Amino acid sequence: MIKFGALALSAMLLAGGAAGLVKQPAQEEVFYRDSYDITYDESGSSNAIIESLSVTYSTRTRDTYAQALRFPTYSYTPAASACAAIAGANLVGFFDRYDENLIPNHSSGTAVGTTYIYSSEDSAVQAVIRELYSYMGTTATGTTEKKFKDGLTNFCKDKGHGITFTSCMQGDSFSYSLAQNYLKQNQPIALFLSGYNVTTMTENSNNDSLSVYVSDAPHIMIGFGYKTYVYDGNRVYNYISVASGIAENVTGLFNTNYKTKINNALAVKIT
Amino acid sequence: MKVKKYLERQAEQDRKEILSSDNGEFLRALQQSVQPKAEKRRAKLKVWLPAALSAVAAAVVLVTCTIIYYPSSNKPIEYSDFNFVHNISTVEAMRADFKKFEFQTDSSAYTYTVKKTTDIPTGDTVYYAVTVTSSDLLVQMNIIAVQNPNFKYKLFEFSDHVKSETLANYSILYEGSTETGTEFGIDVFTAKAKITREHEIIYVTEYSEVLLSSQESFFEVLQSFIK
Repeated sequence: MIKFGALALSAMLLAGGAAGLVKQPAQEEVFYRDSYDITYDESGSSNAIIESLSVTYSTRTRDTYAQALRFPTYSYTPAASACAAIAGANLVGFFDRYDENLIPNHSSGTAVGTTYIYSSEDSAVQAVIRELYSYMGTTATGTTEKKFKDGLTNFCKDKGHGITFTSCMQGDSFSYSLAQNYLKQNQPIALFLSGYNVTTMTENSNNDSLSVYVSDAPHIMIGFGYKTYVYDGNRVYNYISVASGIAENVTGLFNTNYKTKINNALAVKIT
Repeated sequence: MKVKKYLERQAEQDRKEILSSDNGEFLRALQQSVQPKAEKRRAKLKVWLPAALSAVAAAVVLVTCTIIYYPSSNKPIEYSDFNFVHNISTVEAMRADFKKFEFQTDSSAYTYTVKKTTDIPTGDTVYYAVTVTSSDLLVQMNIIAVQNPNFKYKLFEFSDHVKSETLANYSILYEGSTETGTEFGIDVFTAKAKITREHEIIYVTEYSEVLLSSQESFFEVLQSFIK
C-alpha cells in the first residue's frame, strides 16, 4: 500500500514537473488587431525600401483635389516613435491658418491666388510637436489611436478649441469616396495604418514613373487632398496626398490599395 | 604436481628472504625499474595534458576571435534607423562636419531648418536633414546631406529621365518637371538631385517652386546654399 502510494505520488510529481516544463503563452504575446490596441511608432522607416514602378497606358484621366497648394509637412522627431505627435502637429498647423494662436509665434502661411501655401516647420512648430508628444502619452514604442485622439482633444481644449473626428470607414473598409467628401469640406484625413507607402509620381507620355517609399510599420499620416488616376478607362489608382511625417520623404501620394492596411481613417476638424 | 608445489614453496621462501635481507629495498628497486611505462606516461600526462589542453583552448579562442574580428573590421558599419535620433541642429554644425562641401546662408532670402540624425549606439552622425524655404514661401527645398562614409542612403532614386548638369563648383544629377495648370491655375516646378564629392553626398529629395510669373530657379537656389 505504501509502495503504491509512493509510486502514485511520484507519478503526480513527475506530471506536475512536466507540465511546468511546457511553455505557456504569455499574456503579452497576444496581439490584438483592433486599432485601439495598435501602437503607432516612428520606426516606420526602419524597414523602408524604395520601389520603382511604372504605369504604361494609352489614355489617362485624373481627378484631383487639394486643400492647399502646399500643406504642412512637418517631420521633427523630438524622441522615439513620434509619428502621432507629428501627424497631430500637421493637423494643428493646417488649422492655425484660421487661428494663429494654435501655434504661437508662428506664421501659418500665405495666400496665393485662390489657394494657400503653408509655412515650413520652424521652432514654434517643433515646440508644438513636443507638446503633443506629451499630450498623447507617447512612449518609446509609440502611442495608440485613442491616445492620439485624446491628446489632440486636450491640446485643442487647452487652446480654447474643440475638435471633431468623423469616420471615413464603411465597416472595416476604408471609403475613398467618404474621404474625398470630407476633404472637400476642408477636413484633413488622419490615416491609421499598418504598413504604408508614399509615392512620388512623375508623369510622362504613355508611361508614368512611380518612386514608391514602402514601409511595413504602423504609422499615422495626414491626408490633405486626393488624386484619382484612371488608365485606359479601367485601371484605377486612388491616392491621398499626404504629409508623411517622415523626414526622408515628407510629402507624396498614398496609394490606398498598395501594401497597406488602413485600420482607421478619420476626418478631422478643429473648431 | 609435487614438483609444482615444491617450486611454489621455494619461490615463496626466496621472496621472503629477499624482502627480509635489505628491508625489501632490492625488491622495491626491482619493481620501480620495471614500473610499467604506462605509469610513467601517466605521470607525464598529468603534467603535460593540462598544459596541452590549455594551449589548444587558447588557440581556439585566438582563432575564433580572429575570425570574428577581421571579417567584422572589414565589413562596413551597418546602421539601423531603429537607433536613430533626430535633433535640432544648425548650418554651422554642418559646416564643421563636411569637408568637401561648403554651405552658405542668406537669412534675408531664406530660412533654414536643420536636423542632425545620430546613431545612438555609435554616436555617429549619420546625416543632416535640411529644409530651405524662401521668405515668400514660393520655394521649398528638402535635402539629405550625408558626410558619413559608412552610411549608404538608400531611399533615393532617379527615374529614367535623369540628366546631368555642370554648375560653377560641381556637377549634379537631377530630374525636374513642371506641373502646369494645377487645379488652382498655378504652375509648380518640382525636382530632385544628387551631388557627390568623394564620400560626401547631397541628396535634394524634393524641390518645389511655385511659378507665379517667372521661370524656375532651381540651380540658382541650389547654389545659393551649396558651394
